[in-house]
Amino acid sequence: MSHRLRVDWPSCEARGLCHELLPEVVDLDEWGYPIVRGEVTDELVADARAAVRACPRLAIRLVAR
Amino acid sequence: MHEVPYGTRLRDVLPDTAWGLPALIGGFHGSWATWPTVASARLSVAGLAAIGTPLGAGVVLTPGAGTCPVGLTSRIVDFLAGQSAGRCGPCRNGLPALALALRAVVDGVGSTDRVAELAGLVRGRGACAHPDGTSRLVRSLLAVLPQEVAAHASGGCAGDHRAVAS
Repeated sequence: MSHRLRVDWPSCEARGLCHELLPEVVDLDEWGYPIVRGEVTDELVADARAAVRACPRLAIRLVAR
Repeated sequence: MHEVPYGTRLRDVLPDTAWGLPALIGGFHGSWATWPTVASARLSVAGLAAIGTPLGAGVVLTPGAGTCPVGLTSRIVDFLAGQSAGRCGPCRNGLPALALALRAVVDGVGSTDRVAELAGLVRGRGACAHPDGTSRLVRSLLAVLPQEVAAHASGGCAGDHRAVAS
């Protein structure tokens, strides 16, 4: 089953940990806010969960689709 | 303000000053359409969806002869950037940057690539659709009126950039 990252935009304050932990899926724009590139593949789900847990703003979720 | 039967031809509702000119359909979050498109449009959900310009807020802006649609769009985006609630970073940072980039294009010193990049960057990245609607307005300008936009790079636009639409 594929997964996707969801950003809670009002909560996000561009701390950038999601990009540090999951650069395969998350880029940062010129202001440091995440750009989610495509789906989270099965191999990356563990890393994605780590990114979700590490977000200091609790601003990302991993949703199955 | 007009109340018209469903399916009325848009050209029958517009003032004479709008004839032959592009119009902004759907209000500030709407889309530009060329006159041939406007002339063929009917005021219904299906009729406007067919030409790719949803009626949106139900407002049709007709700049009138002598008003530059690029300058008008730039002023609308200035306004919309100021209307951001500022809750989401991509909108709070992106819309002012988009407004600046479009202003630079109007002044003949900016790149349309930068405008397109920023319009793509803010889309779908907010809690509400304000950035999406602003992006739609700008992308429709670039897609529908490329000659008017290009005229600014060559200094060839003789339109009034400050005029008010009707």
